Amino acid sequence: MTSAIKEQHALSLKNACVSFIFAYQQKNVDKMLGFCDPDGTIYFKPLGEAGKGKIHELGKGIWTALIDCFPDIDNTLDAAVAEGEDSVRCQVVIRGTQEKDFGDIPNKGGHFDSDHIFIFRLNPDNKITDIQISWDHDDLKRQLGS
Amino acid sequence: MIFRTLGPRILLRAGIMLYQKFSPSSILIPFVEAYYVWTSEGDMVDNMVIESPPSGFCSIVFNAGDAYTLTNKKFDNLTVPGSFIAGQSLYSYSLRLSGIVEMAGIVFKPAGLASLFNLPVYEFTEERIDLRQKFDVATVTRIEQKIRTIATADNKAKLLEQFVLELCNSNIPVADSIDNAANLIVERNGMLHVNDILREVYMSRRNFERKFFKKVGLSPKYYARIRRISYLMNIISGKKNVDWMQLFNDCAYYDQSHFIKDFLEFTGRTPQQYLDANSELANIVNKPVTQSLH
Repeated sequence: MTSAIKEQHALSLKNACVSFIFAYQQKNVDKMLGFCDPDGTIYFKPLGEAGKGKIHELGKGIWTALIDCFPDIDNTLDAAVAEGEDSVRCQVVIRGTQEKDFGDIPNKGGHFDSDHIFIFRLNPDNKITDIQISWDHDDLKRQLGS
Repeated sequence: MIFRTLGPRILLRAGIMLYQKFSPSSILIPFVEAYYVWTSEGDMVDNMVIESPPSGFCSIVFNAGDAYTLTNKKFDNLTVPGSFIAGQSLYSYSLRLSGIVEMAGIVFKPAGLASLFNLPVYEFTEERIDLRQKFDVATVTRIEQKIRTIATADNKAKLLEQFVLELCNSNIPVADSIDNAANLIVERNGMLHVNDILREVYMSRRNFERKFFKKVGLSPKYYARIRRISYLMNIISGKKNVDWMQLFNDCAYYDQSHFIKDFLEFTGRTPQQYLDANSELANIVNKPVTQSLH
């Protein structure tokens, strides 16, 4: 790829990821999944092996549960940086107030506000093929009183 | 555009570098921070490294001197295009210069690139984008050629202003609420709360953050953090001793740990490591006083 085409491709990648985060903000899981390859993989890193799976299965399940348990869940996209030829790092602050038990975090009505890093990988069609998400899970649990 | 005669030029020299800044005409003030001309005045530099913390500004740069390279978190010695858009920097970066230094640039207010040219600024974060990808090639080539032939810094700055006016067909937009909010963050050196801004813009937080991200490339809160560290770095640039306690109080940090966290995140070093070994431009030129073009 020539340098100019590489640059343009990197910019297009960023568009898809920003759109994904904005869809998350709208709590529109179907729209989020629309930016992802059907066979795409995901890794919620703080959850270890249990956090690995398919975007359209594990990802969909966790986001749906999050929206159900934290109905006011919201995010702020701080920055998006293209890394390499096919990946984008998004720095996102996610916040919400708990109204139901979520996994091993019992509902105490707490509020969380947590820095998350999303690393997206995309294919040449600008579909997301892999997402790695990291955050300080101990701090998040502490904020929710767990 | 008619330019009035300049007052006496103030040349600021130290070593071989000369760095001059010029203010824009009043209609461009909401969108353009300054024009600059940076030159070694025909002298050669040898493998000189200049580092810079994030400033909170995007720019368009024309390099009429020898090619140079950029190193940041993303690029290792990337040879930058001859003329380019520099997006927001999240972290310190360094330039490695050899040969003749001869640059002229337009420094935009945080939302200026988006307001003037309708560019998706968030795409440019941490990037150097060849100007020809975004603007008319013939116009860019013509300006590059003129920058090489014009002798004086003030005339180069005038050419840059003409370039801005030409690119937006002299249809200077009216600054909107996002321009004003971002410029307020700049004026306050990042020392304000997003809720203070929200009271002025009459938008929901979500709507405001989205619009801000599209025009500035960052969230308002994150942008304010960058502006504050930029202000702080400007205070300490060129110094070898600093009263850190006084400084983090003056910059309204909640406590020392927040201050050190921001410093480390944006510069990659602790405050003392930075003081011990920084190679900012301020070490080799005097801080420029902005001159009027008009």
